[in-house]
Amino acid sequence: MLFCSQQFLVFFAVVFVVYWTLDRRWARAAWMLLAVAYVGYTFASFWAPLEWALESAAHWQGWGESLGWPWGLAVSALGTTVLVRVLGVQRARVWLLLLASFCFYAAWNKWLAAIVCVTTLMDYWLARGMEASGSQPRRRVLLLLSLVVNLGLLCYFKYANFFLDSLGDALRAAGAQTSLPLLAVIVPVGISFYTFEAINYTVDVYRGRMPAERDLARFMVFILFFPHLIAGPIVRARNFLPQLHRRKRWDWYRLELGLRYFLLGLFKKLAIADRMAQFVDPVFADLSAYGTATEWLVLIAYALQIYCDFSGYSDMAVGAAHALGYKLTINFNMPYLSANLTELWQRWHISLSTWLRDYLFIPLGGTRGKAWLTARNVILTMTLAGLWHGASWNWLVWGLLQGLLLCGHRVFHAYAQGRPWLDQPLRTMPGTACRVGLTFTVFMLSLVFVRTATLAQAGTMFYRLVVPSAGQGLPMHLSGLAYTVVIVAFAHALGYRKRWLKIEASLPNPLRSCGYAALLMSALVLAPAAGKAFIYFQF
Amino acid sequence: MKHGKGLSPRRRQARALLLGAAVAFALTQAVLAVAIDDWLPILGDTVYVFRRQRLERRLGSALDRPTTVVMLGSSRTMFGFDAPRVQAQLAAQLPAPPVVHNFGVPGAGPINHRLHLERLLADGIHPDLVLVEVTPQLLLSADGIPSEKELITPTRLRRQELALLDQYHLPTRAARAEWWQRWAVPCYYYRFALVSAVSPSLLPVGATKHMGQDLDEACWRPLPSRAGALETAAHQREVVAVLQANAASLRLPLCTASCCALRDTVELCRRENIGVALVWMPEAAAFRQLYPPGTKTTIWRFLQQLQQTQGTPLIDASDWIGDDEFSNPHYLLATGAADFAQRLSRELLPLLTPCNGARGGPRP
Repeated sequence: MLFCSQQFLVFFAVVFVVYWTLDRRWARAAWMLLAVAYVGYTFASFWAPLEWALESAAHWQGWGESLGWPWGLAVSALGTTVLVRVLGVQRARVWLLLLASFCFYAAWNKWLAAIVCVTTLMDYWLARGMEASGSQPRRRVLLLLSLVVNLGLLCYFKYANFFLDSLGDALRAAGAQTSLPLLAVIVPVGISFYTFEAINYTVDVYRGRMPAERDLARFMVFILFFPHLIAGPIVRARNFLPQLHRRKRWDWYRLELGLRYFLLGLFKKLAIADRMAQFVDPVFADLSAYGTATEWLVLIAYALQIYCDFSGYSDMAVGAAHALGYKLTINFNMPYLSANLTELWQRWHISLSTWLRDYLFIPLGGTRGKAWLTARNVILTMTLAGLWHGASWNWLVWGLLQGLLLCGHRVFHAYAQGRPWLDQPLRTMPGTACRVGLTFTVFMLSLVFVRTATLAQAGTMFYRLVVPSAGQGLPMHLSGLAYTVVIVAFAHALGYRKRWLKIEASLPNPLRSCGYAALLMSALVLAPAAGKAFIYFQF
Repeated sequence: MKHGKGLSPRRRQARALLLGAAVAFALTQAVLAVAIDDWLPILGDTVYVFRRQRLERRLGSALDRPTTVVMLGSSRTMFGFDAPRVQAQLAAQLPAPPVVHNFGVPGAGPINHRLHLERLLADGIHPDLVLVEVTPQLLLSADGIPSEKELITPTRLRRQELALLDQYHLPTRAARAEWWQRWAVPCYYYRFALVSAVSPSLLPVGATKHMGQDLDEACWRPLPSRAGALETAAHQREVVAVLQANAASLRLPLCTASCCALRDTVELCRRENIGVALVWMPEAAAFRQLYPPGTKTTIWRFLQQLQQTQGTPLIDASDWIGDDEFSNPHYLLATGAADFAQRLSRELLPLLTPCNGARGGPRP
């Protein structure tokens, strides 16, 4: 279920309305009636197969799958409206979010949704155990158990085939006549995100930075909350769990804020990322067929696509969460305006960067040791960050490259600081513009490893980027790319130093309303024929 | 929910903004929906309106009310019916030059033909002779739902056409639901047409091809002859793909709804006093051999029945043209289309002579 799909629109509308009207008796009655009518209708239409289902488990499974998430959502709404009297409105809301989040994930695969629930339950009990235990070794064992299970599942689902494949290649290269069988596993969507969330919770409880959550439903919502479940932002338990305890009140301002984020994300995804995919996909499908100029242009298009795709998803997630009364971390802060790579990683996928800093880089020693130790920590952290993104040699090289570039920047920064003749010109406006341009170009070139499937393909791309080659032109009109670049540049200019907020405050209300409507309309009009899944879903 | 007096100014402003945005969006959509239906039909059904506008222009530029011949068909017609040549041939034989127009639309079958004819009549264009292409694949179906369901997209249909298509089990349930949804967000459902109209450069290269930019004035799209085309690997692959795709569809049973639509089109012509003929377009030998033994007989029996009951002439041009004149087994090259036009003109002349001048041209 994509955020920018009709399915999600219906799903979110139902959750939103039931969520905010649970405190109204008339609304609860209406929801119960509607839910009972819907469930009854679908149940009646499946009645004949149901008799047969009692005799056949396989058929029962088919019946369950054909009902799908709307049925689950209706049952969830019915259940929570019934539970209001027993649990109170606030807890009933939490249960509604939990059940809706389960339906949201189960819309992809219900068995994987069950696995997420099982690991979440385990983390809940382990954290409770850690808190209850006075013995440090026992606490450490429980933490280790949590880490092993979470990372073990991540490795099994995501990296086992990569490992087997690479081992097979190595054996063949060594002359062995063997081929290792690959595992037939489906990678659970968003596994990297919720694994990191679970780890941050258990580690924080272990370190005593936060108490273990006592309410199971609230803890499960922290992990399963549907806006961030699939592709982040990676939320911190310390930030999110207290929000689940606060009484939620309807707030027009918050809703407006949510709508603003959601529309911005929708525009980024439909009007820019999906549109840029039309430039990018055909070229990367056959790299040797296109000329050098085309490949440079397509690389620019891909830089825009990946940024708008992921930041668009994050914005929509933040917007949807705001509409339900929750605040998620802002994940992007105009990273392409960064003047160096260190700054870029402070502005790009902020929730991942800070997670890696807090739970990997600092425990490794951070910047406390000698220069070479710091460099080792940076390279190790970024290489693992690359692997976190995907199980392939390309991602590994990309992460390693990021680490090396960050170390290179540290060295240059230290060198320049002691030399005013170098440092001062770099800090002027033209110097900063050059640094921004260079940072963007370097990052954009590193994205070749991200978009290509193999190192050989990446090599082909680099070769054609450097050595002038003839070939086909762009699969789209150049002006389409030019317009998009101008729009993104203009948006960055408006967003720079919060200029937009000052302009917005001076605009009359009707104009701002029309602006929202225009933003939604342009996102819908510019959406290409075939919508694409979010790039970061694969992580 | 908290409403009314207790709200802080910031929250009151947010509420006004949200409600204003909702109203602005809804109003824009309503205006757009009305505009597409009443003033900008080209956004609704570009394929039809483009061809109709061309025909209107040609009829408008004629000095007198010309005899009008329209051929309704699929892509076979679009590529294979050399309307200018047929027009020239007929002009030499008739007292006044006629207007011959190609109304071939890729994927169109009997139901689209009926739809297009109804629309032409409703739009005030009254042809003197309508040639209806018989597309065998589109008279067959696996499940009784006409094969051309893909082309009956909700965004193309006008309100009154839903009832018309209902008798042919179209549009499908999902498409019917989508027909209603398009009213809610026309900017999304008509986005392709909107972008094509405002800034075509935002679309992929060649995306507007099907909209008619490469058709000639009579809406014929000639396929140029390619030197040694038959020998190229790409061409061979195309031929195999066409044959494979059609081999499966030609094994299906006759579709009652599609046959009904064809019969209704003929009846409509009779009611409207329009001359009508059925044309089985030329096919290469490889394509003709695809028909399983029973299929062609079944289709042929249905067409003969139509011929007997309605008195509709049936022009079987399936074997008129040699294999060298085809781009693929069922698309004629421009040279093949010229040969087809020569022979078809001779067949059409007797159909036009009694009606020439007897009927008016386009009605206002």
